[in-house]
Amino acid sequence: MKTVLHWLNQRTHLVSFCRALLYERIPGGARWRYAWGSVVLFAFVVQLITGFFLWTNYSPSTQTAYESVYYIQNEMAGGWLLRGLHHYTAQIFVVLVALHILQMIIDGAYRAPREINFWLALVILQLSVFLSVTGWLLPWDQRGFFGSKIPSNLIQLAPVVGPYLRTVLIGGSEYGTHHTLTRFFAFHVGLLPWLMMGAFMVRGYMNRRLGRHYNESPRTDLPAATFWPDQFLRNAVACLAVLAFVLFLVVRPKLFGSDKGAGWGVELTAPADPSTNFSAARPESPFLWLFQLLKKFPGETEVIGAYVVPGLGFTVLLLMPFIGRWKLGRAFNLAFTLGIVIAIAVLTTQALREDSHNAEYQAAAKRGVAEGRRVVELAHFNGGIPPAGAISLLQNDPFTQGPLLFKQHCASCHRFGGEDGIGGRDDKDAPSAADLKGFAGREWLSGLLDPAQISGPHYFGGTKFKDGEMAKYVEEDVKEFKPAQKEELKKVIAALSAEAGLKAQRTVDAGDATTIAQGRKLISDADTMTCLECHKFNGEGKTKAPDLTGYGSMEWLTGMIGNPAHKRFYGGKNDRMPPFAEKGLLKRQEIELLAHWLRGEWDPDDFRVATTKPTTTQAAK
Amino acid sequence: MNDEQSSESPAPPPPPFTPPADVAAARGEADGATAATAAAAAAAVATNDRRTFLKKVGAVAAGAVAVLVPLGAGLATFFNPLRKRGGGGAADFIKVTTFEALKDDGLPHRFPVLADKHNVWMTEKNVAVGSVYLKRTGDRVVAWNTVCPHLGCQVDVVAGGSFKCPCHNSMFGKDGSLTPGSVSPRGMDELEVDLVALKTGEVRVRYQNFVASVAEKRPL
Repeated sequence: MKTVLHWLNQRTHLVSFCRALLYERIPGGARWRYAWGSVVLFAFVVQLITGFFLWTNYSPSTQTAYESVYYIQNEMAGGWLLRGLHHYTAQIFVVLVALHILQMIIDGAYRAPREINFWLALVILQLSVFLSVTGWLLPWDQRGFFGSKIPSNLIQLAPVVGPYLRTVLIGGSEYGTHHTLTRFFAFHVGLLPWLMMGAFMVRGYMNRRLGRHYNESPRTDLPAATFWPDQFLRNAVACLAVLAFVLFLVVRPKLFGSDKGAGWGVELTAPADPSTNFSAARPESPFLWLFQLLKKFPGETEVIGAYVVPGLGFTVLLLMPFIGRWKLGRAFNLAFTLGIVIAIAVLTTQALREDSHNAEYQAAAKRGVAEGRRVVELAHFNGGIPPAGAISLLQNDPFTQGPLLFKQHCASCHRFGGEDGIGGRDDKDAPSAADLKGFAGREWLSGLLDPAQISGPHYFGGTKFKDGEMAKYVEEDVKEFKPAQKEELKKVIAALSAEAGLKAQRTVDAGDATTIAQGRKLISDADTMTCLECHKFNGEGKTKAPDLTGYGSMEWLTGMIGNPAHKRFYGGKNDRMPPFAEKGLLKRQEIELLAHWLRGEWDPDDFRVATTKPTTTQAAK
Repeated sequence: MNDEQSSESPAPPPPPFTPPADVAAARGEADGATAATAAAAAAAVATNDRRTFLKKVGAVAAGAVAVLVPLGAGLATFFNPLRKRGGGGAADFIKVTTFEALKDDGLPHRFPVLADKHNVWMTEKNVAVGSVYLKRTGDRVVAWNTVCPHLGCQVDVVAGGSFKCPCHNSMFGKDGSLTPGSVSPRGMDELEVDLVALKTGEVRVRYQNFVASVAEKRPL
C-alpha cells in the first residue's frame, strides 16, 4: 500500500496535500465552537448526496413530476427517508448558514483580511434562498406550486429588470407552464449547487491562505492539536447532532404528531392544479418571516417590504467589515444583528400564530393533505397512476369532486347534513330544498314520511310542495295510521329504499329480503297504500308525482339531476331545480360524480350492481 | 521524498518559470554588441513584440468564439420567452355559463373558464385555464378574475359578498374595490362581459390575466 501511495504522491502530491489538510495545526487545541463551519459543509454535502439520488428517480416534467415523487415517497424503500432528509436539511442549511454568519459577526471575524470570507458566507446564504425557492416547485404538488408562485411574482418588483427577469425565469408570462418547471429544475441542480460549491472552495482556500480566524487569538494555556483526529471528532459529532435533529423532524409527524393518519416523512399534498384555490400557500419555515413582513406593506409600498427593507438589511451586512473597523462600529454591528434576529423571531411567531387561528388556512391545509392521501388510495385501487396523471385520479373521484360540485351547484338551495357539502355553513339563507344527506336511505325516507318533518326545512319546507298533495297525505292520512298500518309503512320504506341499492344498506337489505318483497306488494296494492294514485311503480300507477321505480338508484338520480322537469319526475310541477343536463349546466361526468357521492359510493367495492327486480331468495350480492 | 515524515507545512510551490538563457540571448540581452547588432536586436525585439501581440489577439479571439458560440446559443433559448411579448391583440370572449344558471342574488359565484390551453409545446383543448367570479344583480352581470392582484393567490368570497385573499389578507369590497389598508396595489381585476351575448342568455367573458404587484391593470 505504501508503495502505491508513494507512486501516486510522486506524480500528484495528493497524499501530501491530504496530510496537510488532515494534520493542520490548531493552536490552543480543538474546540467545539470551531465545528460551526463544518456543520454547514456537512449539510451541503447531505443535499448533494440526497439530491443526486432523488434525481435518479425524478422526472422533471409537469406531466410526470408529481407522479415520480409520489413513487419515491410511497413505493420506494427508503424513499420517504431520502426525501425527508432532503426537505428538512434544506431548511436546516439556511438556519445553519445564518447562525454561522451570526457567529462571525459576534467574533468580528469579518475584519481585514477576512472580508471576502464574510461576503462569501452571505453569498452562500443568498444561494440557499434561491435553491429553496426553485426546489419547492419540483414535486409539483399544491403546496410547492403555490409556495414558489408568490416569490416568482416578487421578482417582478425588482427595479428595471424585474419583469424581464421574471419572464425569463418562469419561461413565459404565466407561471406554471412546462418551462417553469424545466427552468427551475435546471437552476436547482445545474447552476446554483456549482456556484455554492465554488463559494465553499474559495472560502476553504482563503482559510488556508490566511490562516483560520480562531488561530488569531488561540488559547495559550492548552497545547496545540492537529485537525485529525481531535477537531475532526468534534466536527463529526456536531454533524451527527444535526443529522439526528433532521431525522427527528422527518419522523415527527408519524411518531409524535396529532394527525393519526400521517405517513412517514414529508407527505405530498394534492397534485398541483393552477385553476383551483389553494388557500394554504406558504413558504417553508425559515422564510415565514418574509411572508409576514409582506402583509404589513399595503398597495404601492409592497416593493418596500419585498426589496427595500431586506435589501437595506443585506447592504448593512455587506458593509459590516468596514463598519467594524471602529469599536463603535463593532457595537453597531452587534446591535443591528440582534435587531434582525429579534425581528425575524417576532415575525415568524406572528405568522405561525395567525395561521393557527386562521380557519380558512387550516381547512385548506387539511384538504390539501387529505387529497394527497386520497391520491395514494386511488392509485392503489387503480393499480397505479394512469398516463393522464395523478390529477386525473382526483378529477374522476366522487369523494373528492362530489362535495365541490355540491357546494358550487346545489348548496344554494339544498343542504347536506345542514352544511354546504364542504363543511361550511351559511345560516343567513334558509334552505329552499331538501337536505340530501342519506338521501333514499331508510332513515331519510322515514323522515320524509313523518308528519312532523315533511313540511319542515329538512324536506319540503323551503319548497312549494309543503302545501302539496304529498305533504297533505302525510300530515293527514299517515298521521292517523294505526299501529298495523305503521308496520306496513315500515315495510314500504324498506322496499322503497332497497330500490336505490345504497352501499350503506347492502347488508341490511340482503337480510330483509322478505320484508322488502312484502313492501313492494304493499306499494303496488291499491287497497293498502295509495301510492299508485300519484306515483308509478314497476310500470303501474299514475304520473302525477315522481316515478318510484329504481328510486334513488344511479339511473334514477342522474335522470333526476339531469332533468327534474321530465315527466318521469316532477314534470310540470317542478319547483325551481334547474335541469342540469338539459341546459348544459353540468357535464354528464359531473352529474355522475355528484350522484355517486350522494349515494356514498367512491371506493371500488362500492360500485356493485344492485338489482331492483324482486327476488324471493337472497338479494344480489 | 520521505513519506514517513508528517509535514507541518504545505509542500513548497514550484519555482517561477524563467526562460532559458538562449531565449534571453535572442532578445538581445547578451554580451555587448555593435550598434548594428544592437539596432538589429532592437528591430528583432519590435518584430517579436508585434508577433506576440498578434498572438495574444489571435488567442483571445479564438478562445472567445469557441466559448461564446455555445454560450450564445444557450442564452438565445434562455431569453426566448421574451420574444413573445405583446401577444396577439386582446383576448376573445369565452362562454362561461348561461344567464339562467347564474343565481340572481347579488353575490359572486365562482366559475371555471374553459378554453384551449397552450403550454409551451403542448395544446390541451377545452380545459380550465383559470376561473372567474360572476355576480348577477337583476339584469346586470359583473365578472372578475379570481386571481389576487397582489402576488397571485386565489381570492375567497366572504359572507356578505365581499372578497378576501387568504395569503396576505387583502380585502376587497362587494364591487371588487380595494379596501384601504390592504396590501394589494389595486382592486380585483374586473373583466369585460359580452353585453350582446348576455341579451341572448349567454354569459361570455373576456378572460385575461394581469400583471401582479403593480398599481395599473396591465394585461399579461
